[in-house]
Amino acid sequence: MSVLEFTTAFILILGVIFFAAGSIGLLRFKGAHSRLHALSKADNLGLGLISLGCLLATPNTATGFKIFFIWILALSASAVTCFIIAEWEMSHGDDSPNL
Amino acid sequence: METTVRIYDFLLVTALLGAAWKTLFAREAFTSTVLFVAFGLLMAIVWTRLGAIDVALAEACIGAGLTGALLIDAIRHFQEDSNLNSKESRLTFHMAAGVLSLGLFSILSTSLLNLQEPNKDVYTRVIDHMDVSGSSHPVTSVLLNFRAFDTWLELGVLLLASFAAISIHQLYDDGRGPDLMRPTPTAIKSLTRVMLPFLVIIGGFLLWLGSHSPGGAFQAGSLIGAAGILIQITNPDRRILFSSLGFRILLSLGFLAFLAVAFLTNLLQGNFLEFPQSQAGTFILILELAATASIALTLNVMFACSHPWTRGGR
Repeated sequence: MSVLEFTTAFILILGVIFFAAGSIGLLRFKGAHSRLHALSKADNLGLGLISLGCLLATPNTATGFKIFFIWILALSASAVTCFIIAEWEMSHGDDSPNL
Repeated sequence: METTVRIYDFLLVTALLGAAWKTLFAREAFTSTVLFVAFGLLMAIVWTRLGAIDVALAEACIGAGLTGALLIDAIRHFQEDSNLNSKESRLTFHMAAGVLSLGLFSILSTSLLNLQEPNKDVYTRVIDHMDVSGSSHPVTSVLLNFRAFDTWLELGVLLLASFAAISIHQLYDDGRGPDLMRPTPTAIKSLTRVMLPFLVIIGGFLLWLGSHSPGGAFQAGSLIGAAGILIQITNPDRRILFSSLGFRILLSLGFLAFLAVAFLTNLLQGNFLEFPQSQAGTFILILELAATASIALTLNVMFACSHPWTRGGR
């Protein structure tokens, strides 16, 4: 196993751990805001790590660019979705915190 | 390695069946819809595992993405409408849905019982004729050359669906425009600004990819259609002008392009939709471009017309 392969595997596994943590947080936390917090923070870190791991394993530059764009697009979509849900929850939700 | 892949496939199938089960038996319609989207995304991964990348792309774009958005929209209107949501009409709806589902179930199970060995011969025949098809991707060759007639009729179905949606919309339109969040949340506005160029470029990229690898008019059309829907969401006061000539031409462009090509090929070759071999690539490109425009617009019509009729109408 080369150094590159080892690094790739390490980063991918780290990414999966963050994804798992985010999912557990989504299931176990109480209230929409803390759930969103778990999802958007841990999952985005997981996504970043998995993208990075895949980037190291790509055969060519074109695929690398595609992975990079997938990362950017998923990141912005997740940030915006999280923001909209949080905003809705603030104004309509049952358990909106008094900030 | 083989075992790992088996375990992965097993988990995938379990998740797929679990999502299907939860979709059917969730207590809230909203939960069902979210699970239905998750089911669609899992289905897309299953199609990828089966090697059907084209189907996977279409499932992710239309099956999970667009249908999910329309369903969520429909649920909201359904719940807000006291006529539709009354106990009696809900019972009627449930009965009607049950009967229709039972019919579909019996048709599907009959075809499953009569399922025959996949016709291997068809695949070899497609591969043997690839050099005259005008495309180096078998799926594109089948969709736009060998079975172009089927695709033509599919575009006809889409056009008819648009007519139906527009007619119902015109019947109940009260001039108030779509029920969207006003003012548009800033986050959606900035997302639209970032996403629009990406959606159009990736749509064009998928269209171009269709000539030699998975991709094509349906996938490209749904991405460009999504761009249009984002524009609709961020500009709630701008309406589609259903009566304008430009709209009418663009909506029927895919169908009309097939019609024109059918006449042209009949004159040139003596057979409907039989492309001259040297020009097959050009014909496919023209049909794909026209189909992409119509599909993108059809999806926007579905979104634009899903609004006013639930407000009680006249």
